[in-house]
Amino acid sequence: MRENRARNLAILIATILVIALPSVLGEFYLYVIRIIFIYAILAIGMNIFMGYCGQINLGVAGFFCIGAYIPAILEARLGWHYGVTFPIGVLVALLVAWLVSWPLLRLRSHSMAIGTLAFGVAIYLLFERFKDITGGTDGMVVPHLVLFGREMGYLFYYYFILAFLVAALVVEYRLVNSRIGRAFKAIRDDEDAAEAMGVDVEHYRRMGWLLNAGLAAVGGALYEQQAGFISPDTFSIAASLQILVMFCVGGPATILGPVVGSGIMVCLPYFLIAIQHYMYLVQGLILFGILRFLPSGIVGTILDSWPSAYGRGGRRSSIVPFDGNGPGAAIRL
Amino acid sequence: MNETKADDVLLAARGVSKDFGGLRALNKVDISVKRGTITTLIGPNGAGKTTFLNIVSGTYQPSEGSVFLREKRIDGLSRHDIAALGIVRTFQLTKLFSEMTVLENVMVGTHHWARRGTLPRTLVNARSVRAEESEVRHYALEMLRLTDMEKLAYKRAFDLPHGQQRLLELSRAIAARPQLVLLDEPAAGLNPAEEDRLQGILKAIVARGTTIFLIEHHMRLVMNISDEVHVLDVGSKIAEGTPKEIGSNPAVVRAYLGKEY
Repeated sequence: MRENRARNLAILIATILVIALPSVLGEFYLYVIRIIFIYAILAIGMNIFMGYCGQINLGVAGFFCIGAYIPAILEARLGWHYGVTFPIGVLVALLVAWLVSWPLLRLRSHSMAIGTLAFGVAIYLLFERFKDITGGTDGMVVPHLVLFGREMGYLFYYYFILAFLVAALVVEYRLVNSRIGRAFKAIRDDEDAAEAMGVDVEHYRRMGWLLNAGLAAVGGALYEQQAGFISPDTFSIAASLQILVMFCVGGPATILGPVVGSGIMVCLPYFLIAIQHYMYLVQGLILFGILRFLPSGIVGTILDSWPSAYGRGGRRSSIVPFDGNGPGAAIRL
Repeated sequence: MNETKADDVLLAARGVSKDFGGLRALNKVDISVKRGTITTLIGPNGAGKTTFLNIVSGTYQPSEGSVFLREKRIDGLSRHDIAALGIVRTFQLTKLFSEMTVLENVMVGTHHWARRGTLPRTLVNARSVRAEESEVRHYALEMLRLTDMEKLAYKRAFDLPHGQQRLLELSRAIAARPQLVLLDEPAAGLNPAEEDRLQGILKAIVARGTTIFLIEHHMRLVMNISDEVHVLDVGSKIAEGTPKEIGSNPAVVRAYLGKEY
């Protein structure tokens, strides 16, 4: 009961905070927070596929790229409305994900890492090279969204993106504590045993892959609109790795890990900008330190050391006692 | 008791052979398991016992022969389809979902019969899904009660001692409501007290209407609980019968048991 109340209180405070932020912070800070939210959505997708389902995806920027460029092209070249192009972008990404899942999901471990990496690079090059349509390395300008005759400003984008982040968190939370989430975790922990218990491993791996791709495409569609300009650099291998690092730093297989990881990774460069050339060195050292000494990430480490009625182990897994039967409800956040 | 009706046979392997390259691991083996019994497969190391179990559970395809669950031919089906038909196995070296809690492990066992949690319904948190979640959870706790592990429900599976891990694997298997459980050396590494407990649990499982087929080396356990024993030696079946008949079968004594039986 106590944990339950603490959780509700935390959710309440967080809600007030994120709703009130725009009245306190200036445009620049809201821009940074927007970027954190978008990457958090991407990292949540990675967390589902890698953290819970135990697979590898080093090409997530490919779906990020499709999700951003398809709507951007339709808006800038054909003048279509964002309300139409957004879902089209996500559907195209899902279709591509479904098609490439047949060769890519045959792979495991190292070969899967290389396969997905190659996929990410291929998509990046595809959009970079079709200069006439995408503007190539020069990038392309995306017209701002017009709703009810008014052009949308930064406040709209802040709340719009926040809504999608909340939705992504709800998806993640519900999934993890469900039959599907258990199938994911079973596959991660032991594929043979999962099969022997009747879990169709290929089916669930594909589902995780599609969720990963879908959330990345949503992130892409949000990104291109709020930025007003996109260029291929945003979707290079570096982006895939950045998102990978976010989810590792935050805490794999924790609900809030992706958000924390995204916050750290997006903010770090701003804090380190004063030391200029040494920025990447220090950034690298910090990340190395986290990955080396906190292998379960920041959120994971906090949860592990949190005093709990079920001991350290009880918190490791996302399911904890509920309703009248258990000693009280708690959620792994 | 010799008069067995055809519908009493739950599992029937007919003329099953398995070749690995030039090595014949199983040679035209016929084994049938009657419903509601405990049937044991024994034999020296390398006799092909685990190979046989892998064929029944769908891990391997037989090189010759066929396997039937009642009238349905199951060789050639995928492992998860076989599990969904009601044949669930455990492993010689325990394979648990080590990062999940004990309770969650058992809940995975219900995966194939609690099917309402589809993706759309899960995402909208439909009432039917919530109801099923609660049902599955209570069922899993009941299975843990059966193996006397209820108190450990919220521990991480990885943290359990070996004996408990074996029992957890068994609880997970029976949570699938199988017609037939295949146990690969469930008593391996158990101390005598745990072995006695296992014996009681296996009898309780059969009493619930589940048929058990097991591979085992602990002869005391085999002789105590088996209704029928099959003996394999270098890939061929050399005997079948009640524990008593097997114990006095000279071929079995020579190949496997040694003089004391």
